[in-house]
Amino acid sequence: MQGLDPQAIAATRPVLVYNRVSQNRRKTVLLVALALLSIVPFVVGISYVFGQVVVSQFGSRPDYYDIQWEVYKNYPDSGPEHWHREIRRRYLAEKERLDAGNRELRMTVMGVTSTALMVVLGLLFWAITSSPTAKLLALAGARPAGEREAPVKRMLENLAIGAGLPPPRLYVIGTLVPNAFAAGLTPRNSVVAVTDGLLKLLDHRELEGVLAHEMSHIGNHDTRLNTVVAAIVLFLRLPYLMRKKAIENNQNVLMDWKGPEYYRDRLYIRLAFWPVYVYVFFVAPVLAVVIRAAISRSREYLADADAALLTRYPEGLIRALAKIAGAGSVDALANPVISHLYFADALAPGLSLGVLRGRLLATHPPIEHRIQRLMEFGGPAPVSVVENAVKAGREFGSTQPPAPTDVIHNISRDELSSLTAGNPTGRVCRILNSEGTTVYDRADARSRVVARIPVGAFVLVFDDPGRFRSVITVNQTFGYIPDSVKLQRVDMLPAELHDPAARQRAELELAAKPTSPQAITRKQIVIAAGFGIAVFAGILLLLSQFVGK
Amino acid sequence: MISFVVLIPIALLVFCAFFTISLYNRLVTSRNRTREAWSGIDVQLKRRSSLIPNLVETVRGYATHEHEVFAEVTRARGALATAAGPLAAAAADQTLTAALGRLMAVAENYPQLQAVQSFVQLQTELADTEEKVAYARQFYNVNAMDYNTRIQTFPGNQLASWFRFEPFTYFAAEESATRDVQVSFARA
Repeated sequence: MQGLDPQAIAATRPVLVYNRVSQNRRKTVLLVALALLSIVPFVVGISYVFGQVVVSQFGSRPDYYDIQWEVYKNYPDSGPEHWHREIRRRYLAEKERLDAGNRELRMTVMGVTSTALMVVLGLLFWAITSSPTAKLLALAGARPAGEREAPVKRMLENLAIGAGLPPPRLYVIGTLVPNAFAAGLTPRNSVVAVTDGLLKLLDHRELEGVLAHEMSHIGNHDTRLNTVVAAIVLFLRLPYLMRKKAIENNQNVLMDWKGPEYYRDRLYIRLAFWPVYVYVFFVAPVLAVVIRAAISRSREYLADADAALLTRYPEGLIRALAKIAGAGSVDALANPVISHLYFADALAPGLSLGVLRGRLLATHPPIEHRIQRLMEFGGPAPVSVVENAVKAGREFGSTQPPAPTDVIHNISRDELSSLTAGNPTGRVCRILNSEGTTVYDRADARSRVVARIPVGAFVLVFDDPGRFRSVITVNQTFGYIPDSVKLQRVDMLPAELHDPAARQRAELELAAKPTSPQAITRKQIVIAAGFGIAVFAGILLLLSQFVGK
Repeated sequence: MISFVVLIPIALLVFCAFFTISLYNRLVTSRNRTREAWSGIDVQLKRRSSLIPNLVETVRGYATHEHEVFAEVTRARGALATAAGPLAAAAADQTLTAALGRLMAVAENYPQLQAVQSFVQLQTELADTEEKVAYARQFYNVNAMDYNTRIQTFPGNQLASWFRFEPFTYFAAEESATRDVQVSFARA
């Protein structure tokens, strides 16, 4: 238990919880503004480089030999001194005329490039938003809560009353490492997941503190904030990640490309591009990660303060934090892609590392700081309480070693592929074809029919390239259905689909929610329309440029 | 020049009008939210009241001689049903809690009651509902505080006095009510 000094923690001066809440809110606004600001030089720099490259490749230049020839032709009788002066005069005039056109070309290319970059940012945001909660839960290896967790569910419902939110669905992760997280873009379809270890380690009041913390994340719309921040961070890191990948694969296509005119402006280009290069490949990626970690930390403090406000009993959360610190929250199987969602840092050790890297890049504040800040709310938790809780946690950690669970192990640990890779556990869909569909034995319409699925039935769908999709029916029959079958995404876990009792519950919840037949939300339509308009504007700009010439 | 002289006051007026409208709307939203939060308390209190007859009947089956306690619980329940406004409701709720506490103390004298399935279930449900009441009260008080702060700070207070926005009372038992309960508890 190095690092967590209860004596030092107890020496705090009281702070009003409301002040802490508004302080953290202000901090988040500031950090998000900083993240948005750091996009500006990124976009401007990249589009400037693009504009410069295009101008150096395709821009017009006065042809020296043409001018020379014309001067010789027009003034065959004057001497070399006059020729020289005349050529120089004409050359400069022509250059000035063409440079105006080049500047215009550069501005247009810059405009188009920045539009395209903003479209990329929007696409990233869309991709992250449409990655469903079900996928997240599958990544964490969660199952829906059953009868055994009924008291916890009740506690969550009570907390929802206190926070004035619809009660979230409860999921349980089958690992003995104590941890929890909340997910869901809106409070209405929010989810709280807790680990088995957390339920075993904590008593009623402590668990209430942890659940109140997660509830506050939901109430503060932290998932939505995280999505926005994740999109910005990925956007700022995209060139860096792509370059890293290219270097790893030894395919230096981008860097090796040299046009016919490459050497003409080389020195000038490199001098002008140096700051952009440094910002795009070195400053922005690091800055983005640091800002994301800082936002995440301020949201953790905010959720802690809100939880203290909600339960009016900071001691519960203090004890829970101390116990988790003792037991250690590191999950060997934790997926780095979702580590920032957890209650306690799932990647780093439960206590601060002390080194700069650990502090700057940690998504969660060190636990002793969190406890200290909770102590400031005036809950006079004696030092012995923290000490005992830490001891209990350490005992738990030593007697209950984190056993390996049946979570999916081979999830890619790369930020980029977390977006592009399909869900290895499949997605639950509802059949929309009015006459249902046939399930074939192989990916071939002439093969044996293994099952028929009626309209409205659920299937687990795996995305296969080609004209068939592989599916698993509710009765665990494996087969293929044609690509043309209309499907509707359903927010249900594969585990729920195969457990009849859980399916019934999930179906009831689905029936309570009004769904559109296309399963496209209005928000998605608006975003798609926005992209359409942006792309259309870019094409128009390009056309006007080249048609005008 | 003249156009500027005319435009700036007009722009200011339009801005003020929009600001006032949005402020008014925010006040109304906040008020409605607080009312909704109050109905949340009401729901939980009713839920709690509906559990009591069953509980009393179950205990009466075993503890036949404790008429006074049963009468007190029934009276407190009736008082809660007729209580209007946060203050009265909070006081009645407090009285009912105390009466129920006495009922539970009586029930503890009859060990055979603890073996009755329905009694144990009612007990858990009652505890859960009490927790729900506490959280609903918390939510109401937070909303009421937000609303009260809005109508008591500038410029909300001007608008509130024009349109007669009344502050909400917090759902909290008065000092006297609490003391009264403690005395009656000591007598028991």
